Amino acid sequence: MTELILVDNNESRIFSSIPVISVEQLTPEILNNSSRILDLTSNKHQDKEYLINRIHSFSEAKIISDLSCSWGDALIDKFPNLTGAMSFNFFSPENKCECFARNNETRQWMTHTLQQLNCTPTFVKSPGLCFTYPRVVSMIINEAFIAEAEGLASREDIDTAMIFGVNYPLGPFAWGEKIGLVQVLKVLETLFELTGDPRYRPALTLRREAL
Amino acid sequence: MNIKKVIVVGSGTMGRGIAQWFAQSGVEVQLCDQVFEVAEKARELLVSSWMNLVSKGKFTLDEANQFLTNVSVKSIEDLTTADLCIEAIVEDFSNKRELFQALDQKLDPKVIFATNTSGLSISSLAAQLTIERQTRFLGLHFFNPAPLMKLVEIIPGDQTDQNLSLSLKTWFIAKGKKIAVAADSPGFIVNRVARNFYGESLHTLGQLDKEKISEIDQVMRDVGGFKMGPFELMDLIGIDINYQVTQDVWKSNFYPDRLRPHPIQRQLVERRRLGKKTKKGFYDYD
Repeated sequence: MTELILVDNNESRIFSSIPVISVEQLTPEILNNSSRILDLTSNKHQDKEYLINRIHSFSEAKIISDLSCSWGDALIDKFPNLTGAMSFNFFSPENKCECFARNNETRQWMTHTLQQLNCTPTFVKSPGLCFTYPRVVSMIINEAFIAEAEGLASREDIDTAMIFGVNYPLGPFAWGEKIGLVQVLKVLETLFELTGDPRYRPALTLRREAL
Repeated sequence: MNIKKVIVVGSGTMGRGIAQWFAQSGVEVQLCDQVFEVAEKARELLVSSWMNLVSKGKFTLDEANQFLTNVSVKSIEDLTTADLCIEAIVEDFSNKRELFQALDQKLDPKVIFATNTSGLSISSLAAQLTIERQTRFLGLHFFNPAPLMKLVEIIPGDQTDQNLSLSLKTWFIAKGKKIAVAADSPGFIVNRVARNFYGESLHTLGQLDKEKISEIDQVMRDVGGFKMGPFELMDLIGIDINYQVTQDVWKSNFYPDRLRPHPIQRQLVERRRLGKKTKKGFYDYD
C-alpha cells in the first residue's frame, strides 16, 4: 500500500519522496493500492467534492486535501476518510499553511510531509469555508483591484501604501501575483456561490486578468 | 522645491508627530493649537521623546538640541510665513473649513495648505478658499506614529496644481518618506483597502468566540505574515475608532456590501468593550 500525492494535470512541481500522479492518471487500481493520498489539486468546492467522492468510492485511503477553495467543514462532515485539510496552494509569505487534522496521527504525518515540501503547518480547529488566511487576503486583493479600476491610485501606489502605511508583508497586487489570481478568483467565487453574499463578488478586472 | 518652514496646526498625537518628523528633517516648525498651553505641552513631550531617543542611541544630544531649536510654539495670531501649513485638528469638516478660511486670510497666498484628514474630501475643504489657494491645497495624510511610519498619502484636490503634488512627492521622498498618490476618494488608499483585513476576519469569526478570535489572530500572523492579527490590532486602535472608520468608508462609497460593518463591531462598542483603552475588547486586559 503506498502514499500518493495527487496534483492537477499539467502540474510541474516535483516532490522528492512521495510518488506524484495527476488526476488524469488516477485509476481505480491505483486508488485501491493507496493507503494515503495527499490531494494538492486546486479545485473549487463542487469539483473537490466530486474528486473526494470518487476516491472514497474506490478506496479506503486516508485523504488529506487542499481545501483553500472549498467548504472544508462540509466535506469533513461528509467523508470520514478525509482526515486532514490545508491551504497549501495559497502562497504564504512565511512558507506556512493553515491545516486541519482529524487526529494526532494525521497531524504528525502532515507536519512531517509538509516540512519536506518546505512548508510549516499552523493547525486550526476546523477548516471552515476556505480557511481564514485565503479568504481575508483574497478580499484585500479584490478591494485593491476595485480601487484601481475606480481610479483611486496606481497599482504601485496601492502596494506602497499598504506596505508602508500598515506594514503589510506584501502589497495586494504583488500578493495576488505570488498566490496566482486564478486561486484568488476561485476563493472569491466559492465564497460567493456558497454564501450568496454579494460582498464576495470578484472585481471584473481581477477576473479578466485571472482568465 | 524646498520646504524650510512649516506650520503645524493641532498639537494632539498626529500634530505632534508630524512636527517631530519635520523638525528631525531639518525644517523649522511653528506648532500651534487652539489652546496655547496644549501646544506648549506638546513641545515638552517632544523634548521627552528626543531625550528618550538620545538615551537609546538613536540621536546624539547635539542632534536632539538642534531638533528642539527647530520647534517654536506660536498662537495662531502670531504665526509668521512658512512654505507649508498642515492642519491636524479634530476630524470635523466644519472645524477644518473654518480654520482654513481664517488662515487663508492671514497667510501669504504662496503658502501651501495641507490637511492631514484621514478621509474628508480635499476638494470640499478647499472649495471656499481663494482660487489661488485652491491650486496650492492638498491632502498630506501621515500615519501614526508620523516620525516612524514612512508612508504619506498625497491627495490632490480638483484644483490642485499637478506640479505642486509632484514637487512635494519628490521632496518627501528625498527626506525618506514613501509616497502614494491617491484620488480624492473616501478613505483614500489605506483606510479603504485595509477594511477587509478586519471585515473578512469578522465574517470568518461569525460570533464572539474567544478561542476562535485567538486562532484567527495567530493564523494571520503566522501564515499571513502580518505583524498583528486583526482582533488584537482592533483592540490597539480602538474598536470604536475602527468601527467609525468602517462606517465612514462604507457610507461614503455608497454602501457597498463588501465594505459594510459587522454586527460584532457595533455589539462591542455598545457594550463599551473598546479594546486596550477600556481594558476589554476582543481580549481582556488586566
